[in-house]
Amino acid sequence: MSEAILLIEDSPAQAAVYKAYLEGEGYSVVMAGSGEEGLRALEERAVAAVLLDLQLPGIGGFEVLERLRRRSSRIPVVVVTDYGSAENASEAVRLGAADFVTKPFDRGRLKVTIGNAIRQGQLATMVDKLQEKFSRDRFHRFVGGSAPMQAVYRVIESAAPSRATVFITGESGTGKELCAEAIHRESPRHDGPFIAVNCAALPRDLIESEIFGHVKGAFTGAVRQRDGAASLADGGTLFLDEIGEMDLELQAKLLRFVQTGQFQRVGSGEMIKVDVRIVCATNRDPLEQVRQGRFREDLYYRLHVIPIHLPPLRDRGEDVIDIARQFLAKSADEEGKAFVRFSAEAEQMLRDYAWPGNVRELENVVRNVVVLHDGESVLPAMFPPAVARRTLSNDVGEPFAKTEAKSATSPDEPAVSRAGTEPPVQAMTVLPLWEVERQAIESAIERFGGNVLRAAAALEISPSTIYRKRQAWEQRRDATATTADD
Amino acid sequence: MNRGHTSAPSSPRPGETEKVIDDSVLSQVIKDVGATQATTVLLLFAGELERRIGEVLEAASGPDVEALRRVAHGAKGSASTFGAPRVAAAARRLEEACKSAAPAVEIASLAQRLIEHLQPAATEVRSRLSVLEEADHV
Repeated sequence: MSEAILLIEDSPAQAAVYKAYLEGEGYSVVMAGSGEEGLRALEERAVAAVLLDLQLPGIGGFEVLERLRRRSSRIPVVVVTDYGSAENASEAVRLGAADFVTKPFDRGRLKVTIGNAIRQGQLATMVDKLQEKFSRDRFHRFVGGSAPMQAVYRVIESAAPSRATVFITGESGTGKELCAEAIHRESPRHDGPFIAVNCAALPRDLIESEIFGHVKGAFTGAVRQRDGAASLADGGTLFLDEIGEMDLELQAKLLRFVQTGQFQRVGSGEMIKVDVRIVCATNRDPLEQVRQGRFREDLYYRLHVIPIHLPPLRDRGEDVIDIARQFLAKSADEEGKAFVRFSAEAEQMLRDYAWPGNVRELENVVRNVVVLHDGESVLPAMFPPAVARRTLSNDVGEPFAKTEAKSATSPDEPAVSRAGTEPPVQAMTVLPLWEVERQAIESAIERFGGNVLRAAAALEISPSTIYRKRQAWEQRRDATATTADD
Repeated sequence: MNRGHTSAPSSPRPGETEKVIDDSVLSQVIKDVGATQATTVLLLFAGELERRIGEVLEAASGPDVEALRRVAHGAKGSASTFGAPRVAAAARRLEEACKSAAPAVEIASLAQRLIEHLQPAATEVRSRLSVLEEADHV
């Protein structure tokens, strides 16, 4: 089908000429004799470009351009101007016209100008779509447009249409259930059920019944048959959270279920088959659990088909502000408070704090502030002491929770102190500033066993800063060595 | 072919072009629109030139100088597209006089001059149209 051009021209003779030119180039032409008619036509049908005479009865060409701009229209407009009216052409371009042609013009000139304008419009539309796809600050229930989250959104979109198992990892409070929900909502199963089971929230002997159900009399208190999450999720998605907490015996049953799609209710020999997509999550390092014999290796490889790692809040840049603002609006509304913003200093504190409890901790902090204080602006003094003192700013959490709970101040891990609170190695010697900085950074990295991420968080700089500085020091060392050789 | 309008002779004045119709421009238009559309397009242009006479007369006799400017502007655009240089030049002078709020007598005089050029241009276009139609029949 040929591309359509909307021609807005009040002179029938000129309109006939332009129409013939455009049709001769393979376009179909929609005619409008006034600005009003042209705007109506744009509401009724899609066109690839508009050829617009500036001098029109009723609303003129400039007004048409202005209205298209207010509508955020991406349709390229070529304006027809008179010889000697350069100011009209530049005003039209300022108002968003893609190009202009000056009367008299021939068919060849119009062909080139309209062709370029259409390509320009296509490019603009493509850029819009890409930006929409790759620069989202919301995705399902996620808030945040940081680069790490854009990557997460893209993986979710790519993984969703498949039936493959998704394995979500990430620290506590990073939104693993939101991620599972987003996968379900994006998938062809979105009209089916989404059933979530937290394997850590139930006593070990009840988890099997929770997942697979039981028959009457299966155990004390099983007074009637009950469907488990696997049955309830038939046709939809089963989300097994904290799967690292599942005992080995149940892991074997889960493995059979993942392999065959079949399971037995507790106390029953009958095999039940369901159509379920499994998404699981853990805040532990699953491979480490496999190494420790706490997680079956065969189950790990069955489940670990599409891994998604959710970044901690401290690695999500300005997302912390976007999320905090959303929580503030929600909490203020629920609590009937007047809070509408964070002060600039308070926002800086939100950025500086390491948020070991991630988004969940942020939500609690905001709720705490809203409940205990009044005002329109959240001020630094309103934050709970832990955040206000930033004492946790170095306690950046762990990429994965350790199998045994460990305090940040346990003997085998040095209590973290901020760079600068301890004397530098050669405090009494005056060193070049870059050398002091180098020693502080290397010292922090050493303290965290070579973990640059944690060292960066403790130093309150980004990991990329450390890598950049290390590169610069190497270059400086190489240059010094070269000079010495010379 | 005269459609009944009467007009003063439109011999060029000092500074005005000799040509009523610039055949190099008109021929390009006829070539660009193609043989099947050429007759329609010329008919529309001839009719438009003739219609402008009434529009200029009506606007010039009223108090709305902006209305007269718009008519002059429209005449200028069509005339330059189809190659009617005298009409285009007269329309441009009238448009500029309207824009610069020139004395009424000057505007009236320029309006009169535009009218004097419109009918001969229409007549010339129609004669080109006859040639085209004859060529089609041959």
